[in-house]
Parts: sequence; C-alpha cells; structure tokens
Amino acid sequence: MAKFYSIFFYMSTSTPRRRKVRAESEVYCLSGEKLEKLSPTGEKALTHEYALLFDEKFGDTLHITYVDLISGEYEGRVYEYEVPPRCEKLIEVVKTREEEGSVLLVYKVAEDSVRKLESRRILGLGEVSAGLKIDSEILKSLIRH
Amino acid sequence: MATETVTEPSVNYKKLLKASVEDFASIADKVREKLLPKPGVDYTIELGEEPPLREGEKHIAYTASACPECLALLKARIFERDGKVWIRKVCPRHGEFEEIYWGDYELYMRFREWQYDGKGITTPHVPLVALCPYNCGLCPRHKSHPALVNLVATNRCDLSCWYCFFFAERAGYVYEPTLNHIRYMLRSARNLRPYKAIALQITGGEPTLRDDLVDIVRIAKEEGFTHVQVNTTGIKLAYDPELAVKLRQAGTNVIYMSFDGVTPYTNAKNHWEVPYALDNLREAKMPAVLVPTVVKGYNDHELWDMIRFGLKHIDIVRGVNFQPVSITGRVPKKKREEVRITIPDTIKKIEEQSEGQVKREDWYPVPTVVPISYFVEALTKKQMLELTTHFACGAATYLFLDDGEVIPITRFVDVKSFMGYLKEKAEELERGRNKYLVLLETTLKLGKFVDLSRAPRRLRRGKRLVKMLYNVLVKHDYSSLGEFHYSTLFVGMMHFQDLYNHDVARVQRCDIHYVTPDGRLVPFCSFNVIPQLYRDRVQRAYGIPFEDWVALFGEEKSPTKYKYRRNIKKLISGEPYRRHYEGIIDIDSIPYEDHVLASRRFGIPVVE
Repeated sequence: MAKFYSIFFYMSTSTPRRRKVRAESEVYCLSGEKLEKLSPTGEKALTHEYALLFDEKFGDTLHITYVDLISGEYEGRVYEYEVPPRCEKLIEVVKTREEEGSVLLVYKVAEDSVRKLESRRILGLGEVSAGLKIDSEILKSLIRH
Repeated sequence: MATETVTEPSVNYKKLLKASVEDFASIADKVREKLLPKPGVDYTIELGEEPPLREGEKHIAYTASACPECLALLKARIFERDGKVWIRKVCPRHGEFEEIYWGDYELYMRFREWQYDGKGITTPHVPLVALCPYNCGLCPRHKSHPALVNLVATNRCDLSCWYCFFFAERAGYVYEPTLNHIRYMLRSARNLRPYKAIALQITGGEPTLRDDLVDIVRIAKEEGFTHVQVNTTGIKLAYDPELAVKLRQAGTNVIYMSFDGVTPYTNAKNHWEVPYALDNLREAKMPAVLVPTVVKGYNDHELWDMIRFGLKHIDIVRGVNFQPVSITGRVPKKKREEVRITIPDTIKKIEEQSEGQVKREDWYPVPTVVPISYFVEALTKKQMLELTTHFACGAATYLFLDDGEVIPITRFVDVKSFMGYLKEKAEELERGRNKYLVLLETTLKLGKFVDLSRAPRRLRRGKRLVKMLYNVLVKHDYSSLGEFHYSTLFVGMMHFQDLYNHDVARVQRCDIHYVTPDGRLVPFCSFNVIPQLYRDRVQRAYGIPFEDWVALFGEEKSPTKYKYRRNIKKLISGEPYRRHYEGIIDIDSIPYEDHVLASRRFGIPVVE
C-alpha cells in the first residue's frame, strides 16, 4: 500500500522577512467521482529528514522553504496516511492562515508510489471542481467538514 | 563525504562544433540530469547539529549553509556580537566555522525592514529533487526571477591574474560555446514565467577575445534581451576603437568594466588602459559602469577616490558598483580576516573618506524599489521586474553632481515614505479600488516626498523631478529617466558570497543567474561559490581539452598570441592617461619602476 505524508506547520520568522504562517492539510482520496477524506495513521515531528518533502509541498505554492521555516520559531508535524488501493488520485488541501486562499495539491497514485501532478493556490472551489470534474457542492461540504 | 568515485559527464565537443540550435536542446536534455549534484557523492545533509550561542552573543536567525571543506549542508546561526553580525555553523567532520556576515548590526536591522519576496518562477528548468543549494537550475522553490542573466562567452583570458583559477590554461580546457549554442542558451534563459529576463551580461574569461562578440550581442537582441552589457577589463577596448563602435551599433547598452582602484598599486589589472578605453567608449557613445572588487587592506583606502574618478568622468561613467571580495578556495581564518570586508564596512569607509558627503543613511538595500514594481503591476496588470534579492546582498544610492557639489538622492527624496506610499496604493489597487482615483491621489501627493529646495538645480527647475516621477509612475513613460541619469552616478554594492559566509536564504532569493550550456539558470552564488558542482562541472563537460583547442584552431588562438603584454611607458606618456587621472592622483609622484613592479607582480608582463 502506498504511503502519503502531509505536513502541519506554524512559523513565525523575522529574517530575512517577517512572516507568520499556519498551514494544515486535509487529504482526500478520489476514486471515480467519489471523494473521501482520509485520516492519518501515524504522526511524527517535522525534522530535517522531511525538508525536501516540505519544499515540494510549499516551495512553489506558499513560497516557503524548509530554510524559511527553521529561520525563526516554528512547530511542525508530519502525518502519515495509508493510501487505499481504490484511490486514483489524492487531493491535498492546505489551509493557510496568513492571507486568503488555500493551496491545492493533486497526486497520482500508482502501485506503491504517489506522484505530484500539480499544485496551485486557490481562492475558490469552482476552478477545482471544473478541473477534477467533481461537483463543487461536494467539495465544499468536504472541505468545510 | 562519501568516497564513491563517479565519472564526470562530458559531451563530445566535435558534435558541439557543428550542432544546430535544436541539437543543443536535445544534447542538453540528455546530459542535464547527469550534471546535477549527487547526494552522498558531492554533498551530504547534516542539518541536525545546532550551532552554539555563546555569552555576549544575541541570536538573530537560523539558516542553512555549506561546509567549506566537504560541502555538507549544515544548520547555521546568524547572531550579533560587538555590534556586528556573524554566521556560525558546525560540521560533524570539520568542526566549527565562524565568519563575519555583516559589519554593522544596526544597518543590518534597518536593511531587513526592506525585504520583499518574489513570486517565484512557474517554469522551472529542473525538477525539485534535492535541498537548496544542490538543485540549482532554477528549481521550483526559487523565490526571485532573474534580473540579470550572465552568459560566459569564453573562459579564455588575455590576463593570468595570480588569484584566478578560472582561465583556460589553468582549467585545462577551453569553454567557448558556438553561436548556435549561445542562441540555444539565451532561448532557454528567456523561457521563463511569469517574468522573462530582459537583461544580459556577456562575461568570461575575457569576452572581447572572441572575434564574434558583436554577433553574440546581436543574437542577444534578437532573442529579446533589451539590455545587454559586456563585462570586460576594457584592455582590448583601449586599443580597438572600432570594437567599441561595433558593440554599440549591435546594441550593447553598457560596458561593465573592472576597476579596482585609481593607482597602479591597487589596480594593476587595467590602471593604464582604463583612460584609453573610456576615450574609445566616449567616441562610441557607450556608457560604462566601473566595477571595483574591494579587498580590505588592499584597495579599501581608495573607495571615495574611485567614486571621484567616476564623477570626474560622469559624461561616460554611469555607475560604480563595488563588490566586496568573495573568498574563494580554502583560506585560514586569520588570512580571511585580513582581507574580508562587508557591505557596511565599505559604506562606513566611504562615509569617512568622503568626509560625510555620502553617509551611511544614504544607502538602501536592493529590494527597496520593489513597491515601484508593485504599483506599476497593480496599475497595468503586467508582471514587472521585481528586485527581490536578499536584503544583505546589495546596497545602492544615487549621487547627483550639482556645480561640483555631490548630492545623494536621499537628501531630497524621502525614500521611506515614498516607497511606503506606493506599497499602500498598490495594495488598494489590488483590493479593487478605482485606478483613476488612485492615480489622481498619487499625482497630487508626489510633491510631498520631494524637498525641491535641496535637490540639484536642474531637477528643481519647473519641478522637473516631480514631473519625472509622474511620467514614470503614472504615464509609464521611462524616457524621462534618461534625464534623471544625466549627471547622476549610480553607486552600488553587491557582495557575492563564499563558502564561509554562505547563506542559503540568500541563494534562494538570488536574482543574478548564469545560463549554463545545458540551458539551466544557476544563481551566481551557487555557480561561483560551489564551482566544482556548477561552473567547472558544466563548462568542463562542454569544453575542449586545451591541447585539442590549439590543434583545432591553430596558433592564432593559442595563449602565446592573445596573452597581453603591457607597454607602460607608452601608456603613461599618452595625453588620455594624464587627463583621466589628473586631480585624482599625483601622477608624477609614482616612479616608473613602481608601475612596472605592480604590473609584473600581478602577473602581466611589461614590454618596452
């Protein structure tokens, strides 16, 4: 079974730039037109072993890198998920508290691996539902959940 | 460091000599991955060790930094001690490294207020596969788009400076991309979103050694670079007035000329040739920027004299851009302390040497001007150039010459309030406020940021300065900037890093990049700070072994033909020499023997 990891973090930095960001993720399994929220099966501290994972998720979306994270005060957790074989894609919604909008990350699931397909910042769910061909009401209800 | 040996990748140079632009793209696609740094072979990750904080030290921030010995990526601490800013890191194998980071804590804190981050790039040239700085190309996490792209046109050089390991004979290969190759590289460099680079620097080695340099400039223009500068010692330009004219006609905007001091003692590289080069540039109507590398104890006593030299020749010199020395190779701490100088140290010395004509407060970090970009972007909905480099990378000011008086721009423009206002207005526009109302408000307010009574006379007349700001910000008419530059000297500083003061947070924000022969864009401070993984690796792969080069291109292109020999007697007896240095140095007080010794010590033979 493929594994997937999401990251929660809070950071408060002043060098080189003042930033206070909190980000937490929700992970959804997409099979056909069905979306289901996944729950983590494990949890670990966010250490430098996850630095590359951190950069992959947030480097090009929130423009935050692991080096930014450690520059000031921070907290971080890594959540592990077991990806059910029925999942064709994983959707990770990163809710941030710094400015408006969330980050959407979409992964393709193959046998034992999960490969990032796309990442983008979103302000509304319309573009997501169109892209994924999922009713926006379903998405809304899931994300509100 | 792992001891596994890996064969360095290389490309068959015979193929390269005949390849088309399209061929270069497919060659690059095959070789690029092999050229990337390899974990466990080229570097390791050792971010676990916390650098200590000792009594009397104040923590500022953490960052990451490479070990100067083994390139392991380490956690580093930036801290204050004795009013200065330091960086410390501990390598599990090579112990602790501590280095001065910035010579003035107060100025560091003032500059930090001006940091803005870029929007990054949406078209990375390499996938994200490693931690920064071992993934350069640019990778998806890079924060700034390029403000200036460097193209190495050759690693041949007509000089053999004692400290340089870059030139062809010492490297053992010649790296000199063909015109098709250059076109491929420039296309690749421009293949960027959301902002395409428009400024290119052609560098070397010594780029004027290429007979087809003018063609390179032409290609750069064809590929969309609107600003092209040539980085040179100016020696060839001193002897070849036609070259200056041809370069100008092809579209070169400025000559970026090495200039390490005003005397032969401090500038043995081109002290004698600079006057002749400037005269030839005058004839060609080609502006120059003087570029001194500043070394403590060597030329830091001549900083103001170099600015005075620029001001004396303000008809052709547009700027002086100081570069505090970057310490390459393994250098013991004591030796480093002898030569190390940082941006604030340089600023302080300029204040002392100019007797307060240019003060510490007159300097601002590079990202200070970002609100101008935000404002114009918000108005036009077009992505503008944003200078979002790290605040510690550079500093700048503008000096106006007004009837012999030097007036820094900060004496009559309230930079802080002005930039703050533009940022606020940009945010209002982003929130959807009516742009015509914002423009009206801005127009009415512009005069409040300018104290015309203290401005140079020519900017006072008819409120020229306010009109200029109006033209740029409201009408987006940049032609009026030409007037601004008249009798204005840009004075800048750019402190390129080395492995001792290396800060990955700076690398991630770098906006001066090199385009590599495989089409990547590598930040300056990776390309030159970790040359074994970037500059040397990629140029060797695409290079021609030195002996093969001579066999292929004949004696005409061998160093015996192109290495420079200086006729000092002839140069110092010429009228341009005296005219350029008069009033700056006491020319007659320097014995001829001193001239000769300075040149020879530096590695440039003298002929009579």
